Amino acid sequence: MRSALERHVTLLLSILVSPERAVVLTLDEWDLAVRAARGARLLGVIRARLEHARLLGSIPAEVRAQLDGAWSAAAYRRQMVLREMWAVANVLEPLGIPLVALKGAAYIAQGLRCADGRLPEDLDLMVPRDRLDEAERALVDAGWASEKTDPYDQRYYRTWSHELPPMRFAGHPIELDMHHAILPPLGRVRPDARALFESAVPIPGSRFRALSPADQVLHACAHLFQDSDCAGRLRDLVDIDALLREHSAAPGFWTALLARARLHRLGRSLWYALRYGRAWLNTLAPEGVAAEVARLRPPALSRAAMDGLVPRALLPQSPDAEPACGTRLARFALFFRSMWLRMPPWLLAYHSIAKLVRSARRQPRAEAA
Amino acid sequence: MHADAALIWQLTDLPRTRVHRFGDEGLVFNPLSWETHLVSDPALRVVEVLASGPRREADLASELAAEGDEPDVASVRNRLKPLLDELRNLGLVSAHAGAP
Amino acid sequence: MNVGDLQLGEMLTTLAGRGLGLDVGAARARVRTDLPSLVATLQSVYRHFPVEHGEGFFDVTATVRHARGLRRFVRPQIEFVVDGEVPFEPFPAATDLPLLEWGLNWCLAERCNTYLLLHAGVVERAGAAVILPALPGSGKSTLTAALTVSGFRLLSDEFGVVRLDDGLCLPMLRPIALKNASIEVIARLRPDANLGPTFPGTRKGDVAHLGPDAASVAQRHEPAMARLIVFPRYEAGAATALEPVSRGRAFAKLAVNSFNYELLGPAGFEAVGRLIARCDCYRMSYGDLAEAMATIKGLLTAP
Repeated sequence: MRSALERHVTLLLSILVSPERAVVLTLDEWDLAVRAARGARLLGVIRARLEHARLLGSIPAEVRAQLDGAWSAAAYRRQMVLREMWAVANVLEPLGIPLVALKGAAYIAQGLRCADGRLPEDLDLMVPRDRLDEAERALVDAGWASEKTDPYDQRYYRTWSHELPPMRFAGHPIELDMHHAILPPLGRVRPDARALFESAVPIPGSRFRALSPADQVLHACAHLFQDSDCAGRLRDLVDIDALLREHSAAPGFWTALLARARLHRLGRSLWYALRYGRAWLNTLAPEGVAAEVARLRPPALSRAAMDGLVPRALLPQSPDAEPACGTRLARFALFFRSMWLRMPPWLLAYHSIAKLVRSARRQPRAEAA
Repeated sequence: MHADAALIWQLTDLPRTRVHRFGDEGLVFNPLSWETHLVSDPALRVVEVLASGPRREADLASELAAEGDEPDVASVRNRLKPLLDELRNLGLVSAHAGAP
Repeated sequence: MNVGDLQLGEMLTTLAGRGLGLDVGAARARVRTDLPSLVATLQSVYRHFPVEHGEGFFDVTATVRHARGLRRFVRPQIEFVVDGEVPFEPFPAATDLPLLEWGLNWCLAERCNTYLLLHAGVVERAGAAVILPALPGSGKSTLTAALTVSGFRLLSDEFGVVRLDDGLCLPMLRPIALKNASIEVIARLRPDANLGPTFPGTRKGDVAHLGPDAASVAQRHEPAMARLIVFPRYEAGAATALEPVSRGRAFAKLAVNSFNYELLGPAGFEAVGRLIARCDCYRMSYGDLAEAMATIKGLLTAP
């Protein structure tokens, strides 16, 4: 896995990890870095890191303008998430339904540093499974509508998935994803949903709670390494690294993290996150836990496979090239893996065949005006 | 009705709510939704008054009645209620029960 | 050295390599293509732009190329590629400049968020900028084109770029896309106008592009203070009618006709507010271009 990284990746990673290196970049290098960052949806995060390091004044004006533009887009998205949370809480809180904010929405509501510069598209919320139907009815009554109208998709989500089909309030840019768990209920790895709720922490000034720091990190790891094909998901790894840095200072965090990883059976995802985080983002686990982390290590064959696939799939493609054949294969392989982990074999077969039989229609891209 | 009179209304986010008045109508920037509302009087006036600080509902009605030279404060209050409700639905204003 | 002075061979090499840099004022674009017809058209329409080679930092880097696979040969199609992504459906191979222009506009509208981007034509005369918001049925492009061949400087026909700190308008020079009858109208108005080739049968009918003139290009970094906002409405045969628009309504119409007003939040609100406060706002219906232009000139010289 120590193969050389492409230049645009090296540039991007170096700015993320050591912002002070950014001040010596040439305009050519900035051009490549900004294009790579934009494609990886990390441009706002780059600006946030440069600002934290008080280096914004030291970069060329034309580069600064693009970073500032990305920052404005992130600020808009942040506000739209807050607004969506306000609207949803107005509907669900009076019903006494416990509301747990997940992922980006939680980072924003909690004021975590890792929220800075992100571009959330969804509001991910978790409610207890036995309150989900009631929540959905209330939201529909209040004006939210399901985005997926295909009956197969609806059935798939409701029966087999850990979330409702996405919903949207007409005209709102943020989609609402209602979960009752953080991973599919029939999957090979089933985190303890009740434990997630029990350990959820209040968010000061908010009607929502958040997962405990350890659970929050594990959710991010699971989301990336269990539930996705890693395609272009460097930003998710950046989130995990940032969460670890933010929460590391709290005493007992790493002990809790490892204990919860065992409880939720998410040790493998955590191990991968630490491994690739260390390789690319200098993510460091404290020395004292190294032995425990090592115990989470997946079998050699799995490790080798992931080492071949994850770098190809997760790291951003060159802005000047098509995704290489190897990348597309890697993404497909990881996609298949995530589906495999999501469902028992009989369901996977049914789902694949059902998808094949329904004429696969590619989402139309933007039409020229 | 008495309970309502003690309701205290305020702009949800006073420092970030903005108003540009042009004659008897204007634009209000909603800091929660980042929407911009084209608002005419009296709703615009309500927002401007609350921008100077929270008001009890009864006092708000009296102030507006006085500004508009309207002796019938009760009637002003009746027209005020739906306006305030709508502003609240938009997230521009919020209300809480005042001290007795 | 301007783009128009290059040898065709050099153009081909530059565009097939690092790309051709185009400083359009408020933004810098880098264009790449290996389509010879597009190279020639670009040279024509952008002829007054100084040559910039494709090194350095650009706001957008775009490539127009043949679609992959069968569509390279069978009813050939071309694609717009930006940073490794193909965001739009392909176009027929013959409509290369429309695809490039449309794609670049889309990218610029999405990225240039340090400015307020109105969807409007903006022209300038005697130090005063006129903003012509692009509502449907406005005839904005034809009107903007006519003004720029009749003594007005072109800032843009698509992007009203407003600086957030001081409210000045900045040029974002784009070739003006004229449709159907408008092409002939402008050609007759100014026979030596820099009109590119006509692309028949696009989704919008026949399209031809009016290249920005030398003076506008030379002044592409000169901001201008907006004094006038005119909401045009074209109606064949109509007499020219001018009415003031209330500032409240003008604000609303301007905000609705913007690429990023909502995204900018409070900064957008303040920027439009300042603009409206400073400008006279009118609605103008017209059927005769000359009369419309005279009306606008008249508004600018009024005390």
